Formats: sequence, structure tokens, C-alpha cells
Amino acid sequence: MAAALLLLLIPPVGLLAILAFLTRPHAARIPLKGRHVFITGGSSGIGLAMARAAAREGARVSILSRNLARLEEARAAIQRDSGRDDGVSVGVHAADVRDAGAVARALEEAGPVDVLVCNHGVFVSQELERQDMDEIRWMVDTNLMGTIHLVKASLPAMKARARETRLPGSIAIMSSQAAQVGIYGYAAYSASKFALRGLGEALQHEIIAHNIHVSLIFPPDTETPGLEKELKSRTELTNIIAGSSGGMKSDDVAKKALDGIKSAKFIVPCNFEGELLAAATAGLSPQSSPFMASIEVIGAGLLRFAAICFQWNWFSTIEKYHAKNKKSE
Amino acid sequence: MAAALLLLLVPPAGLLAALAFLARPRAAQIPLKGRHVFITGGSSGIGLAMATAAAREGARISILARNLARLEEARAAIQRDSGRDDVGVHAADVRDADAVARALREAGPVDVLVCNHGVFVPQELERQDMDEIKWMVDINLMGTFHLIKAALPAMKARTRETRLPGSIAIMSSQAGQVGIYGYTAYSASKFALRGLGEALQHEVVADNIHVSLIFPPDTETPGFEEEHKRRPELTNIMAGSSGGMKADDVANKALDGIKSAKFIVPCNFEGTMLAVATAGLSPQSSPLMAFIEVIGAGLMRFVALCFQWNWFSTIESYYAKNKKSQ
Repeated sequence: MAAALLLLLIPPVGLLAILAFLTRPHAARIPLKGRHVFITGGSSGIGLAMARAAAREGARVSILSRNLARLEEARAAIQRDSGRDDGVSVGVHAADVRDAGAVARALEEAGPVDVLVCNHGVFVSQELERQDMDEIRWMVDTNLMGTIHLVKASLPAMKARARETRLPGSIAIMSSQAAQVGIYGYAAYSASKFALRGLGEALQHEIIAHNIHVSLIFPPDTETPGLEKELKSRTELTNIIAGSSGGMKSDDVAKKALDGIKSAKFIVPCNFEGELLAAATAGLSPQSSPFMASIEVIGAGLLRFAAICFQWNWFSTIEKYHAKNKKSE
Repeated sequence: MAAALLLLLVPPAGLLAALAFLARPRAAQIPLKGRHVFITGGSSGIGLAMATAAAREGARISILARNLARLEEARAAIQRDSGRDDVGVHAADVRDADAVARALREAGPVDVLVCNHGVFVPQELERQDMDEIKWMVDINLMGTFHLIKAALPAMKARTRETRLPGSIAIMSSQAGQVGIYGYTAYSASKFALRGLGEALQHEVVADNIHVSLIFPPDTETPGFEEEHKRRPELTNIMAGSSGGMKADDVANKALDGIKSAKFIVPCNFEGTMLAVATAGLSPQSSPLMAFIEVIGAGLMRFVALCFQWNWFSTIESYYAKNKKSQ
């Protein structure tokens, strides 16, 4: 009996052992205390929550966003909430991430970065056919090109910094569950966020030798000013489909995000549903944790089945919605 | 004994039956004969091969590219190889939304839109010029947005009239399934098309239009020759392991996939494995493919981890070797 149980344990243990050998990049810990954390979209929502949390952990924080007044309010809030007597240093930089020159200037002023958090993002859901090309371009320019500007501008100094301090650096990119699956109304936003994943996978290959780790953070709908705006313009069908996803508070997302960054995780989900989504969409992305890798391998089949169920549900919803609307015409 | 074997068959048969019920969107066949196929990047490479193949199947072809002279050469070749005389040519840069709209107006309502155009230059993100990155994103991603937005209204009207399904096919790449060294900008643009495609399928299924994303490996085309010249050494070592294909073969696979209204269209066996590994939450019309995806998912994730182990080891060895020689 005991022998049979032991025999059952061999395959999973064997798998875990093999994965412990295979998983790349090697696991790492990214300290925040005494280090420079630069956060875009840092004057509100998730960015502000992350800035506060990082400051509480002893980091020097720089926040970037477009509006100087809001940045200064944010700075005051961060300093107040940080619980530090040493007068925590918070730098503020007003710039639009779509402007490569302004981004470069802000990073020069801020000084070499240890942890770059590309958290800024804009999102308006609408059917692709109806959405203005200007609005689509705005989302792609801000979410994707803005992030590229930030990474290119900060990389040289980050590499030098990682070399000097002999401590790992991090480039964290705020993504979204809309980057794991595209649904009705999200063509432009999902395009911009899926793009960040492709960027992140390739970027990790390019900077691993410089001891910099890439983290992609995938929150669900989060209660932020940004979400309030987006909800107003959501189409009914998007609401029905996306509404099934649970919402989270900024502070909780910020905490999960920072934990993921500190553990140098490539994919950082923020709740249980997010973990399932992450495993279902693991694809060919790297995985540092043998344990997570085992879960991904073992759970993959069941998760793909669940994914097909989700699509069955979504397409059925779309069918019913259109049938109902045709009747009422 | 027979009873035990039968019992073993019950779970897979049950799974297949469940998936036959669940698979969405419902399967469809998209005829090409007598229909209007509009192909961007249609004057060379995969686009030209697709245009020729579709013309041979009896479709009316329109091709769009930037260079009128090359378009006219292409037209002559397609007409020669297919015996048709009605190939339309449209010179436009997909980055110009108005030019795209004009071209689609001139061409007339489209049944099958093939967004095949694309540019690609691999280079480390840190070293690549912002202008080159913008160029790739503008053409590959924004250009595709322009085409779809301009074509959709007439495509919807068309499927209503003809009661036949339409197709929006988007040429992606294996770089749209996994990002590797040197491909930050290109992978970004191609991953984006996948997010776009998943959402778009939700939005156009009620209008009987099917979205197909095609994922070829390196293909022997003029574009590829250009790309090869600029590849960083490390990219060559890592990507070189992927097999190349001929444009005609990719074109055939692509058209087959479009005609079967498949959401994800791989072009060779390796591509099929990649497709299973990166199925994620994408839709799947075929119960059989869904079955393969569910059963094969775990093994594919394991294989994926092996690939990353290999790639990261390659990167490590490369840097170690280069440090020594400095």
C-alpha cells in the first residue's frame, strides 16, 4: 500500500526535479530598500499605490505622469504614508510618455534606475469598427510606444547600475487580463497589451546577461480613476462579457505587483483567477519557479478545456445578444 | 479484455463529444471561387503566392502594395499563371488611412481580406532606432487597423447579401507566438495582431465573418533576405534552429486555413506544436484540434520550458565566450 503511494509520487516528484534543472531564467530576488524605483502613471491608481508601498519598504521613488499638480499631491501622499522619518525622497517628473525626448530628460533628471515600472496606460473599449482611429492610435502610442521610450531611455544606466551594485534590476510592465485574452470591445487595448508581452519575452532574452529581470503584471479590473472613466463608455456586450471578471483594489494589486517584481517573476498575476489565466496562457514564456512550472505542465490540459468553455460562454452570449436585439427591432 | 479497452476509450471519446458541443465559433467553410480576395503586400513573397493560388481557385484578386511597377509585374504574373484577366492593383502605403480607404473603395466590397503586408528588422531594443521601431509598428499594426476599419462595413453588407461567410486573415509569424532575442519590436507588433484578432472575432462573428491568424516560420521571400542581413549573431543562433519554408507552401497552408475558417493557422508541423503550446484562451472551431490542444497542452508546456532552457543557456554561453575573448 505504502509502496503504491510512493510509486504514485515518483512522476510528479520526477517532473519537479527535471523542471528545477530546466527552468530559466534562474530565480532571483530584487531588493527594494535603498534602491531607486521609477514609476510611470505614478500619480494615481495602481501606480500611486505601488509608489507608496515601495516607499514604505525604503526605496527612493520617482513618479512620472502628465500633470504636475497631481504629481505634487501624489508626492505629499507618498511621503505622508511612508512612515519614514528620514524624509523619504520622492522625485516628480511631468512628461507625456509619447514624447521620447521628454521621457529621456525625465530619466536623466531622476538618475539611474534600479526598478523601472512602466505602469502608465489608457483604455477605452469600443467595437473596432466604431472606434476612432485617433483613439486607437492614442492607446497604442501611450501603452506601447510610451513603454518602448521608457525602456530605451533607461536601459543604458540600468545596465551600468546593475554592474556597479552587483544587484539585479527589474523592468516591470503593467499589462492587463486583456493581454491574456482579447474580448469584445477590446481590439485596440488588447492589441497594445498583447504587444507588451511579445516585447517582454524578447527583452528578457536581451537583458538577462546584464542581471535585469522583466516582470509583466496582469491585474483584473482594478478600482482606479482610469477604470471609472472606461466603465462609462463600455458597450453593453462588453459589460456582460467582461463583467464576469472580479475587480480588485489598487492597494491589493500594488502589493501583488511588488511581490512579483521582488521575486523576479516573469508573469505576475494578481488574484486566483489571474493565476489560472496565467497558467492557461503560459505559452512559451519563461518560468523561473520549478513549482509554478509543474503547475503549468500538470494543469495545462484542464486549463485549455476551461478556456474553451469560456469561449463557448462568450460566443453564446454574443449570439443571444444579437438575436434579442434583432427581435426588438 | 475487450471491455477494458472499451473502457479506456470512454474518457477520450467523452472529451471529444464535450468539445464538439463546446467548440466556438462554429466551424465554417469559406469559398474562394467567384469571390473577391484583397491581399496587401500582394506584389511579392507570400502575398503574391497567395494571390496566384487564390486566382487559380477562381477568385477575383485585388493586390495592394506601395510600388506600382512591382504591382503591375505581379498582376501580369498572376494573370499568366491563372488564366484570369481581372486582377486589380492598388498602390498605397498601409500607414496612410485615407489611401487605404480609397483603395478599398476602388476595389469594391471584399469577401476575403488578407492583411499580409509586414516589415521586420531584428535588433536589440537598446540599439534599434526609435524610427525603425515606429516604422514596424505603424506598418504591421496600425496598417492592419486601417485596412480592417476601411473594409468592414462593406464586408458586413456583403455577407448579408450573399449569405456566404467572409474572412479577415492576418499574416502573423512565429515571432507572434514567442518573443526571442532581437525581436522586441517585431514580436510586439505581431503579438498585438493576436490580441486584435481575438477581440475582433467576437465583434464580427454575428456578421458571419471569420478571423484567421496565420503563423508561418521563416519563409524564403525578398523580405526575409533583407531581414537576414541585419540579424544579430545571437538571434541567428537561436532562430536559426527554426526551419524555413517556401512562399508557395506557406500560401497553400494559409489559404487552406482561411477556407476552413480556422482561427489559428500554422504552416508546418513545428508550427502546429507552437500553436498548441500558445493556444491560450483563443477560440477553436474544430473539436479534433481542441482535443489535441487539451491532451497535448501539458507536454507542450514542458517542451516550451525546454526551449527556454536552451535559449537562455545559449545566451549564457555566448556572453561567457565573448567575455573571454575580450
